[in-house]
Amino acid sequence: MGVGQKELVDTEYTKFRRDLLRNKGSERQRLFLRNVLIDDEFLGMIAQIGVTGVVDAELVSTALTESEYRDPPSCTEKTLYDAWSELPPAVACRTTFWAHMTIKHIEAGKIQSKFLASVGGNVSSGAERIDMALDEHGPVLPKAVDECVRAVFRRLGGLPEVRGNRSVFVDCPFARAWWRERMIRQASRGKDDLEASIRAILRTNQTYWEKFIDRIVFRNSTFGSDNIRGAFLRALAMFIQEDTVTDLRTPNGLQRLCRRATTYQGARELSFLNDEELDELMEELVWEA
Amino acid sequence: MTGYVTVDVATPSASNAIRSHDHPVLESGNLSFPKGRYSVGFRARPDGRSYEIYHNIEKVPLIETLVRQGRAKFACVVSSPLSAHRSIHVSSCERQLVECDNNELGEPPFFTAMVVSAEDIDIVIDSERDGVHSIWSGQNVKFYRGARLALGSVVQLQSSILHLLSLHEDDTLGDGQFVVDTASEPFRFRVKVGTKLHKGLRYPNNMLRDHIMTHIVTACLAHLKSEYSNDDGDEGWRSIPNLRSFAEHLEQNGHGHWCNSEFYPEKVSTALYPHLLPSDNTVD
Repeated sequence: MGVGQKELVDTEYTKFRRDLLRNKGSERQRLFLRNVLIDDEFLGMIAQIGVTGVVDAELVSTALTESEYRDPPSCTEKTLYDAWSELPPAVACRTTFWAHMTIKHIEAGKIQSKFLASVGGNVSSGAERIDMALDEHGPVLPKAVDECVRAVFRRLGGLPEVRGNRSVFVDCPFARAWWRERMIRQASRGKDDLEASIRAILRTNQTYWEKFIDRIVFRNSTFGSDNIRGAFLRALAMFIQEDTVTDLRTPNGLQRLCRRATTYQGARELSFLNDEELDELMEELVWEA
Repeated sequence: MTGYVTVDVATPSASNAIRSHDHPVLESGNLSFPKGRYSVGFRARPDGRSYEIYHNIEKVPLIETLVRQGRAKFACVVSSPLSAHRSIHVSSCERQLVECDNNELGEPPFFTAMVVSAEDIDIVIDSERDGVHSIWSGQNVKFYRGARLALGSVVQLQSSILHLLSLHEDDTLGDGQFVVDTASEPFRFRVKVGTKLHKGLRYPNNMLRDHIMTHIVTACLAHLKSEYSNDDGDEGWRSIPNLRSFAEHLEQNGHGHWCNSEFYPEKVSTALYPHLLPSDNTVD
């Protein structure tokens, strides 16, 4: 797995997104949403985008419900990662790859295209959200339709031109599952109890995950280093096991802790240190936070 | 140093950063080593995954001594934020071979060269002996293991727009036509050109080619202005490293970038790649 994975042709998919996002609430956007409601229409429309590569990725074995797709429980995320664990990061960071993967799942009936518009909250289903957007009138229509179109692209594989590099890590459920499980397993180094604790932290909520990812995907970030990130997560997991009411469980607490780690990195290149030195340093950092 | 692209990654310049760390550091904007310079040569190997790097530190006796004693090492951090990758490669000597795992890299890598302390070191600074600013003289400083003694700026070997674009023959276009497309991962301009034009653009040092390339660059810049002019702070296009590097490159050269209302694509492209004219007397 890895070399030659099938994916959408980048230029064609980029142009497809760009053309659709150009005019908020346009007839083109409304037609797109109407097509998203019906799998075959959606697949027919997306078929105009070429596919490159030769290797098909494995599909999930059982169909997913809408809520299971939107917010996979930890057991589903583990299963997804196990199926795709040999994907190289160079592929797993690509919107074009995950968009193709998601389309293949729709083709195989494992998910439905209307799930892509689902964002949770008061409007529970994707179909309902699309219907509401299409039924809008007046000045709110363009924004409602445009937001719905953007939601579809975000779920499909990410929307980097609007959400930046983080999009694939946080917006596409399949990609999010892959990256989250990968980071959990790298950090826990095969220790089951640690793995469960780290998983609980990184699944605290979507905002918590996004704040953590922001610390990784920006240029030359401290937490881009596997060894620093791993030591940080191990120390945080062990601390939270001891102190169950700590504010380090909140996005604000996490950000404060990350800033402290970055301050350490300001004077020293932490990735130069070995795992034992990093564990010691991160434990000190977390316990003093 | 034949075949290397050499970058001055740290040069002395006026700033108040001299005491921003607990120890002297050779880095841009920090006068701790007033005469110090740090340049790095990069050369990509033909295998497409390894790079020869040459660290050159000058007029920094303290760092040179620690390296010679084996108490400090040269290092290069390779990063690809797009694929959440960052790794350090360490060397005892100036010439370093960095081998990358392309499976880990979602984009052409960023390089940050540095010299790090390999052990905890306590030292009393003698500004004359060590080449350190007198403000540190007589002070007992501690370099922790991993402390950065010299730190270069982040380098990606493609920050000019010509590195961001590639030309592709498209036989559906007329012979003299071109059209600008973009790819997102990593961000690139893919310029489709008609068959004859494609053939003509293959040969450098040709005035006509230069004019056409300036036209193509104008179209690319116009694309950025029309599609990426929303300034979303650290989100949006600023989180795309290629674009951010290019914007910084434009700003450093006084052209601003595509979010500015005063950004005129044709003005910027002809400043970067001015139209060449025959000598003055032949123009008349």
